[in-house]
This record gives sequence, C-alpha cells and structure tokens, in this order.
Amino acid sequence: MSEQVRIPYVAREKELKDLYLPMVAPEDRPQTALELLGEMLKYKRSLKLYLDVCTHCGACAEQCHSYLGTKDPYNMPVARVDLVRRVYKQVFASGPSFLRTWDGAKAIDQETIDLWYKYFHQCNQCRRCAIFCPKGIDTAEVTIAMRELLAHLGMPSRFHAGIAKNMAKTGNNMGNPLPAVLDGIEFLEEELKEETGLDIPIPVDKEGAEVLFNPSSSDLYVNTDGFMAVAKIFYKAGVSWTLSSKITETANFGLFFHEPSMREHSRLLVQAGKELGVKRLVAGECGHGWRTWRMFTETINGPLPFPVVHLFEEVLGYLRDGRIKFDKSMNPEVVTYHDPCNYARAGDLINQPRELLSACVQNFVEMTPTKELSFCCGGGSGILMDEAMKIREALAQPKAECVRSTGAEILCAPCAICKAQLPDVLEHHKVDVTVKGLSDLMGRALIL
Amino acid sequence: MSSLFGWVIPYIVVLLFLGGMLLRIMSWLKIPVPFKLTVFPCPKTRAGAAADLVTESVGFKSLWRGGKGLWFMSWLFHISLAFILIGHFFGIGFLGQQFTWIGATSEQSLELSVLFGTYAGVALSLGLLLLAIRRITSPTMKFISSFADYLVLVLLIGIVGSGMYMRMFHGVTYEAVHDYLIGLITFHPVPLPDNMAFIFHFTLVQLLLLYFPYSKLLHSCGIFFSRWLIVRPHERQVIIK
Repeated sequence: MSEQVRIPYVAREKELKDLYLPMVAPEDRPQTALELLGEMLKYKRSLKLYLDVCTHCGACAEQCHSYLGTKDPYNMPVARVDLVRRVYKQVFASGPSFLRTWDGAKAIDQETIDLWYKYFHQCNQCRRCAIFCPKGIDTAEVTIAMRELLAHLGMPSRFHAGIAKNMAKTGNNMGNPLPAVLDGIEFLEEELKEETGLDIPIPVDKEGAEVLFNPSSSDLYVNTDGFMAVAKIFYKAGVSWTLSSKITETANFGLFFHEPSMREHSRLLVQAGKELGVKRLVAGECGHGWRTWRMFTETINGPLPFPVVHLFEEVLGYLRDGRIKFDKSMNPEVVTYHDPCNYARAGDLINQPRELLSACVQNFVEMTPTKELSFCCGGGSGILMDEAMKIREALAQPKAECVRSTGAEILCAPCAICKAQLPDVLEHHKVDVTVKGLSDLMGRALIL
Repeated sequence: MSSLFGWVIPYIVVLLFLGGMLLRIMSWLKIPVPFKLTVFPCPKTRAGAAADLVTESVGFKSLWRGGKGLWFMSWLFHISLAFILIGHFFGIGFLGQQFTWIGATSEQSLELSVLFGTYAGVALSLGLLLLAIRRITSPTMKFISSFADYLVLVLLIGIVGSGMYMRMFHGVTYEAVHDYLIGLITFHPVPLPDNMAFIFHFTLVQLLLLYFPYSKLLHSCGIFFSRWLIVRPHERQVIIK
C-alpha cells in the first residue's frame, strides 16, 4: 500500500527524526515487526494472556462502538485482536504447529502490517470491551502495544507524531512557544477583569504555591471559558495556585502510541512541581491524561513527593467545605453528561463529576448507557485527524444516538479530546446540542 | 493392545496435560505487569477482587451485562458441565451411594444419582448445541471462528453424545468404571471395561486433554489471570489534604 493513501496519514521522515524513531523499508517491516512483537510479549503480561485466552465467543462484538458505527467486521474487538493473534499463533505460541494452524495461524506479510495500521487506528482504546468480555480482555492494551510497535516500524500516524514532537519542543501539544503562551494568559486575565470586574490572577511559575494546575493546552485557546472558570474557582476558594511555564499540557499523547514520550511528559511535569515546591498537582479536563496520572504514575515516576488529584476532586473538596457556592439558576438548560472513557472506566471518576453537576445545573438528565457502560465519543486515543473525518463520524454514531435520545441542550463532556471530537461529529449526525466542559458550567454558576 | 490403550496411554495423557498446563501458567506468571490496568468501578479489597472472580466464574456477570441469549447458552453449558464433572467424581467414586449420606436408601441414592446425571446431561447437551448452532448460523460468528473453534465443539459433542448414549441406552456399570479408574490411580492394572461407547468416550476425553493446553480451552485457567489484571484492588497514592 502506498504511504500516501493510508488513513490516517503516516508520519514523514522529519517527524520520525524528532521522536528518534527509525525509518524501516517496507520489505523489512514484517521481520522487524516480529522482533518487536517478541520483545513486547516479554514485558506485557496482558498481551500474552489476551492472545492466549480468547474463546472467540463474540460477546464483545455488539458492544464496540467502532463495529456498531462502521459495520466493518475487522472492527469487532475479537477480530481486531485476531489480526495479531494469527501472527502470534504462527510464531510465538506453544504447541505443535498443526494445532496452531487450526487456531488460524498465518505468516506475517506486508498486508498484515497494512491491516494493523488501519484497524489499530479505528480502535479508540475506550476499554468498553473489557467490561463485557467474560475474560476481561482489554483490547485497548493490544491497541496501545500495536501502535507502539507500528511507531517503531516508522509508522506512527503523522498527527500523533506531530503532537508528541510539539510537546517535546514547547511543553504543550499545540506547539505554542512560551511567549505565545504567556501572551494568551495575559489576554485571559484581561478577559476575566472585563467579565467580573475583579483582579483574578493566572499565576505562572509562582514558587511555593499550594497547587500546580496543569490544564489541557487547548483550554488556553479554544475552551477558554473552562480555563477562566478554574481561575475563578481558585480565586474564590482562596487557594494559591500556579501554572508552569515548562509544561502547560495534561493530555499525554505518548500513552496512545509511544511510551518514551509518555514517560518524558510525566517526568517533565513532576520536575516542574518539585521545582516550584507545590503541595499537589491538579490535572485539568483531559481523559487519558488523567488515566496516565491516576494509574501509571507509580510505574513511570515512582513515589511522588506530592499527590496528583483531578480538578473535580479538588473542586468537590471546596464545595463540600463550603469554600465555594454555586447558583444553579445560571445553568437552566437541560444538561446531560458524557462519561469520558478514561474518566469512568480507566480513571475512577464517575460520581465526582455528577456531584458537581447536580450542584451547579438545574436540569440534569442521565444518558443511556451511562457511567462505566458509556460509549466513546469516537475521538478517543487521539483519532482527531482531519483526514480521518469519515471514520470519526462513523465511530461517533452510537454516541450520537445516545445524546439525541436525552433531548439535552447542553452536553457536558469534560475531556479535551471529547470536546474536540463531539461538536464536529454531532453536527454531522444532526444532533442539536452544545458541547461544554464541566468547568464551563461551574464557572457560569460560581458565586463570586 | 488393550493394555497400551487402557494402561499406558492414560498416564502419558495426564502427564502431558498437567505438564502443559503448568508450563502455560508459568509462562504468564513470569512476564511482568508494568502498569495498573484496573477497570473501574473496581473492588476495594483483595476479598472483593476474589468475590469478583467468583461471581464471574459462577454467574458469568460480564456476559449478563450484554446479550442475555449468549449468557444463557454459555452459563447453561458451563454450569451443567461443572455439575457433571462433580457427578463423575461422586457417582463413579462412590458408586452412586453418595446420597445415602443425607439419608437416602441405597436404591434411592442410585436412582437420584442417575436422575441428576441425566438432567445435567440433557442441560449440557442443550447448552452445547445452542452454542454450536450460534457459531454456525451467525455470519459474524463465522467471520471470527477458526477451525479450532469448530473442532472443540465437535470434540465436546462427541464426548457428551457418547456419555448420554451410555446413560440412556447402553450403559456400563459404575462398578466397571470405578474398578478401572481405581486401578489406574493405585497403579494396579485392571482391563478397560468392554464397552465401545465407553472406550469412545474415554478416548475423546483424552484427546481433549491433550489438546487442552494449546487451545482456547486455556480460558478455564486463564480467566483468573486475565481478570485479575483488571479487578485487582488499586492502592492510590495517599492524598494529603
């Protein structure tokens, strides 16, 4: 397959260089892929277990939004993993070769790698299959491993590689250099002054602050209402807080395809926190960034000198202590809540946002299915490429129907990727709803 | 010839089965788990995680969350299989006299043993056939099925079919099987019961055991290891307030 027609686009040489990833000639890829897969099977127990214990029962098929939305049989989680399993059975599984042939063993070729590239970029790593699989097989684990493998074959998506490069160079995914970041922050401070008449600061690199807040960089430019709301909440609660000029990004794209990038991202933030001497790190609205913090910190960074908490946990503490108050009447619309996959299934944030919502909106309706059974928005794992718009629309179809049937006017989707994906695809599916973060709603209701 | 089949091969089969399973389980355990893969909401304690494994392996909780049809077929099959394996142990081990422990007479106990065995056999056959029909008729199932998936069904249908045949039409006595198996266990050779249905049944079971460590039947053990990855309680870093 020509590199030009792949969707999403494959990274070019310059992006690979930035991430120290090799170029591998197409004819060498099958052999290199086998070596990489062999290595992964030595340090990821989940991968080997999942390749061994699947019974092809098909319980996952009808639960995967990717299959429901695209109707492509390779998008059934079981079939997706079978693309790897057949190579595993051929080369790595134990037992006589005729038994492995019966299990569908097939030698690896360039077409296999093409299929890997295509279908592991149509999995959102949402983990819904893990809830319905009786063996608890989490296809996201396989997708993460296979994207990593593809990256080391010189085939990460151009979009992911570009974002990881931005992060490495500027400390944010948007690739904005520090002067631009500081400019943006100054502008937001002026906006706050105009809106509230108060001097609400957005401190940067304030040593000895209690909280280091780490937003998604998109909140600094696109979803600015949410970011300003956070500043207002800290101001009202009387908490000394700061941003770091070294890193203004909680969305850790390394998780999706490149472990070294993930580690470096985490290390950078922990270092920033240590240098500023903060008491805790507060992560902003971002699903997979939160998963990395909540679940992977211990492995990546070892024991931290301070805890990492989510913005919702932090604000809920203020609310329960009576340090801030909300006026529900500021949010009179019908609001429904979209559980970002990496909050609900992967990050243990299910009831906290609901408690906040019920305090700051008048009409809250639950979606069906909801909480840990919620469908992904279709943008998960960074499937946000413009060239993949057709796929994104198909992946979002189940979610769009869920949102439509609530009849809500506002869809609260407190995750940077959901916020980037949902407005576009819901418009395509003709669902008339405004997508907002939870911070936006809290900011509107906050009594200053 | 019959001493080979009745006296030598079964030992080899059992050794290959146990050795194979042990190697497979060890092959999982020696690989590290670098990241916490918990799926929430999750149990808070080890006891809770153990309870999850029980509800999953006895009640098939995850399947229940999805389509109830698959849950029914699968649960019926596995539960009756469990009953039948237990029934084999008690029925053959105690010659059908196990119900005398709860006050039945010797004849009543044998009748109960036969009755339960028959019912469980019917349930097992039903579950197995439904699963087979599902796999054969659904286009999506066809897409994800490999030869091995059908082969396991055929082996099981052969085993269950011959078992039911012995039960309904042409039985061997508990005593004959009892004597043979006790002979095997105590290393005192006794000839195989002279019954084609039994030999067929016994041979297929051995084939299944040989295939077991290299097939999807591994899920019987693997489920506890793979579920543990997503349900084990996760200690969070302490939050200082």
